[in-house]
Amino acid sequence: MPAKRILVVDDNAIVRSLVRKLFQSQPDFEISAEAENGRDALDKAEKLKPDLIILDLVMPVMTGLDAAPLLKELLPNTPIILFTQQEGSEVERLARAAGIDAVVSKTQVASELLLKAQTLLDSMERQHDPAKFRDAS
Amino acid sequence: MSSWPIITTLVKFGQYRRRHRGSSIASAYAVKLLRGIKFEELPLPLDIGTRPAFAWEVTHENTSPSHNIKYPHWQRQFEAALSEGDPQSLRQRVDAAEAALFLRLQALAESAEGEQERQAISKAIGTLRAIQREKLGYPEWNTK
Repeated sequence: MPAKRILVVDDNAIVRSLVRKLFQSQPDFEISAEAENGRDALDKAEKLKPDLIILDLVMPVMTGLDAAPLLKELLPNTPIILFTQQEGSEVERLARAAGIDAVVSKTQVASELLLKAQTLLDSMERQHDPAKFRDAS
Repeated sequence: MSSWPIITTLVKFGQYRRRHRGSSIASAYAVKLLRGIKFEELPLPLDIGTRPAFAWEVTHENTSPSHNIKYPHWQRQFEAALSEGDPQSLRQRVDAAEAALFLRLQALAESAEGEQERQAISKAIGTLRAIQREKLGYPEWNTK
């Protein structure tokens, strides 16, 4: 089973490095690219077709909420996680409206991001290849 | 703090997950195994340094002994961003402050204490957002 390729989008290089470290510690994942704003994410997503996108909200040039619908249009089957310091029902509502699959707060422990990524990818695989999961259930 | 126990746990989790792909037990096990892992415990890239050094070069630049530091994990970085007059350096200062706040929130994530600090962090994030918008030209995110 090839590792799932992740595109990490965050304007803060340090946060990107931490997310990279987190996922690189897992054999199931690899960070295929990093992008520093929504526009950059669109370019990289088109070229690399990642399996999962981790998207910051507040970024220069193009915010996560502006990029998400365009990313979904480009890669409809790729789950997007909004990974943000902003919290609250308004963010959740706007995220859902933008086609984002899950919101993980940066105030939560790192493992929450990992678990959410795994849950979304498993769910996506289950939808597209149910036979693979028949033995396990 | 050594990050190897964390990495070992994460690798162990990865191996377990491959063996039990799709099983609901895997998810429950994952939650148990991974609970409590924080970004601040992960090894940082070499160019960033270890967690204590993550208190930034700013710490060494702004160490007035009379300065009252209530939140040593992020206050200096935050104040450095506030007082930065050079537009070329402002983005770096804001990024440094944001990262310090992020790591501190991680440290506080599973603690029942620190409510006052969380509120201070929330206000600091709001201030950084205003700087990003007004001085760095970041677009508004909540205009819809």
